[in-house]
Amino acid sequence: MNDAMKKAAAAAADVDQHILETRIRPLVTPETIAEHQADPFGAGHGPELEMLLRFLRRNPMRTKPRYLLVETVPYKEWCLALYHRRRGEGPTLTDTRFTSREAAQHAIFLKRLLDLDDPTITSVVEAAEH
Amino acid sequence: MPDSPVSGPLRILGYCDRPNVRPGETLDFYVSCAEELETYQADIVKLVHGDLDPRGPGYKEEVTDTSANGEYPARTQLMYPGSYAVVPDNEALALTAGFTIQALVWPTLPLGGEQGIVTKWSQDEQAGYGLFIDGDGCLELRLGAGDRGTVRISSGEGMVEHCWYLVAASFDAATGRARLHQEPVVYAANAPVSRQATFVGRAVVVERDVDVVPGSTNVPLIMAGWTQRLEDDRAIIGGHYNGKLDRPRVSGAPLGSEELWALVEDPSSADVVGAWDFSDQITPDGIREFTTITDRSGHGLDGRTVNAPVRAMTGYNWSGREHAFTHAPDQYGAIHFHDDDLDDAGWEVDFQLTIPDGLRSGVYAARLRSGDNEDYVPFYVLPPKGTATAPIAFLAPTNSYLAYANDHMGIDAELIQLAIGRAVVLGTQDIHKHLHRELGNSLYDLHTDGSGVCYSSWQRPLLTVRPKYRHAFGNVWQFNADLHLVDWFAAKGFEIDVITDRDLHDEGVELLSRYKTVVTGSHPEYTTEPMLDAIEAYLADGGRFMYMGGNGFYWVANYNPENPHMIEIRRHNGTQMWTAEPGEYYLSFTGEMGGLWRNRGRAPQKMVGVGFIAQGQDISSYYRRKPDSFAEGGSWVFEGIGDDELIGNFGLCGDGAAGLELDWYQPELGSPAHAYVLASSEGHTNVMLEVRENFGTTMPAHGGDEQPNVRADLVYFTTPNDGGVFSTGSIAWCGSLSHNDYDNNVSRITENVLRRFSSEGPLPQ
Repeated sequence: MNDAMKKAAAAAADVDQHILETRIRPLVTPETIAEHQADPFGAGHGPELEMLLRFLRRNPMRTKPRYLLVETVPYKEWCLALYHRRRGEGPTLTDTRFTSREAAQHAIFLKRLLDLDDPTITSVVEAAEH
Repeated sequence: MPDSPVSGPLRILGYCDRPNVRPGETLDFYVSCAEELETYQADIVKLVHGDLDPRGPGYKEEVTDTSANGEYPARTQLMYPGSYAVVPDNEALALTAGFTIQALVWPTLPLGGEQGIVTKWSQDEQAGYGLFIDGDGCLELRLGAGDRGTVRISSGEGMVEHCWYLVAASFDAATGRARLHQEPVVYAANAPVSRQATFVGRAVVVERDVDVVPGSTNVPLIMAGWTQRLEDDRAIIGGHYNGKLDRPRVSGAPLGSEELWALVEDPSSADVVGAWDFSDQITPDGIREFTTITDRSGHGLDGRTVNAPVRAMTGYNWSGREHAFTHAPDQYGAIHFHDDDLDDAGWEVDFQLTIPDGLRSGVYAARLRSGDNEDYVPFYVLPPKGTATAPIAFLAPTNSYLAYANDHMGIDAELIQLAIGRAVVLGTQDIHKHLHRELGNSLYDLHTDGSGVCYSSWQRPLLTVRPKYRHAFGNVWQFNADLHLVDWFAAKGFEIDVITDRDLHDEGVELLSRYKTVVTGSHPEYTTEPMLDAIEAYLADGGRFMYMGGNGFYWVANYNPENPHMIEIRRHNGTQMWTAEPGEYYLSFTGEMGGLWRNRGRAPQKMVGVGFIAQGQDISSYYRRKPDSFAEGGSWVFEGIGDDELIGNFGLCGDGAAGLELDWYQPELGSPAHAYVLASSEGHTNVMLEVRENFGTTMPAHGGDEQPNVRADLVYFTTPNDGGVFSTGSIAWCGSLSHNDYDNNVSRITENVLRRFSSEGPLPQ
């Protein structure tokens, strides 16, 4: 990345931080977390959860891990994995396995929230996990 | 350099030379096995249902007894990706007194490692001469005499990516003087940077005395690479160059800077040994001699391109005024080479299948097994030429399979999870094709250098064109999704013939006219002009057409004149994964404008009543009946279905019949006014978004939760001479056919239409 690209990326990161603090942080509540856990794919997602998911799925922070799932047993087992971000390099599989698609997607949702490194958000997620 | 495509999770892979074959014709199969495999078993199977989803009918195939079934010795066959041009060795290229090599280059990955520009160089022998890019992105001259030494001279100045340079290297054997010339050629329109405010490149000339005279070597002249070694008569190429090359010349004397420029436009000097203008093959109908490059010098140093580098590319002198290369061939003298281009894996034939007379038309595959390892090589058996053996034809959208072939969206496209509404889920094929980029790209991918992929061919293992494969988006897609329909035909007892896009392109309306009804696949997105003409002529003459999917007849495609199973597209002004560069919107194969049929005045609504409106691969929804479904001319479609039933609120593709990609009825784009709008979908999420070509300026409310345009319309209308069209407007439709043991309202509607369309008697008006 050259200096010009760095400047453009830094400008975007500043705006994203503003979005995080003003729009996203209030959306992380026990209710949205429970709503996602109940149905990570749902048609009935409320606008708060929709907006939160859009924020997380566009990977606002390039330095954070990017998650995906590898189906290790067809239709039965899913493994949490990490993208390499280098062409031709395979995903790195972790030891975390799931026996439902929903649980796997929800685990990624929680990880992404924690990856935001926002103390307010982290405390809501940790409370929800307990 | 060669790669083994079977060193990852998949240990056996195959392909065949084409997708379509008729009784009496022979199909060639090519197989590569991992080293530890000694034999494999090949069996021809008829494919029925390929979706492994446990909620559906499960996997179904039938072994077909043919002479090809049997055990075969395993061997590993390699892949040689990367495009280049080759000129056979010729004594005119010995150049013992000295030389100048020059070219205009537009490097796209100057820091991507050492690359050959124009070379007569044996890497293994370190012998010959050539013009290169070194490891620091600088121009380099190499002179090699094998054991007697090698000289490398660098310009010392890195080249800026995506900017044109006149580069040259000369050598005078009498004086030992070598000279490098690296001169930026940045004009107003030929680079993505501002020449007055941004461009940082400098012109440099480097001169040096050297004490090596290049040794003779019998390797060919290579453009966009070098010869690693010769294996028998085959040159194994390394050092693939990423970028454009324009007007390369080789002269038999050392030249100065002014002489270089003179030769760019007029290479008639007596010193010139070879002068190639890649625009020489441009005709008003495109580049028909696609692999040919010709020498203007009179020395006959003609050559050919390998692995389909992209032609009809803007050259160093593109002004930005002309956008059709056929109108200004001299501004389209460039070829864009990529280190991951591949048009044909080029394996040796492992076995052949001559289609037995009487073999029923259908979807077949060679099932390859060795121990626990397995691959399938699908193909379509057509009826005997000039005949129909059923009243119904299934038109397999093979162009669309090619477009998606080996797509890497699941990993390469960072933001795809926004469009699919979930984290990506990868299966074995996804990981394998990601690890083995040498298997080639889809038309959704970017090359190593970030440019969009515009060619795709059948002659390589296509891991997405497989039964049992589920796409990283979370659903079966294209080939395997269309087996939902093939299975339903069998479950309902419909006899069908199968025809492919290529057959329709070649044989036109005559092919269709043998059938009472023609039924498409779930996503017939890539269409040639002859295909559209044929379908329209069929409909005008009483043909009946069932468009069983969504986002059909959308992109302009056409075939390589030298390879009937390789297609080209150019993406611009549509809903697209990449965008063609300015000036590169026209198909090299034919000279026609690429992009959307809608932008060429042929919106799909004019032909099938509906056209692309929205996409979103999260979850699918249902349709609700509209007044036309109760009207006299439309109610027959809904016979046996309750007035208030929701249509398709179930299914294997996102749990609904309306989903993935949707089409709408829109008279302003040509939907017939007399069409019956039988049902429309509702309840889509905000992941399902209106297509970008649909609105002029940006405004909120493009998602399915708040935009009423975002819906699938189920449409029926009649055409002249008792023809008719039925369109579902949704890719997901066919995924609902098998629900409840094929007893459901999506199946019922489809059956009502197909039985009426394929029987004698008039259609309801």
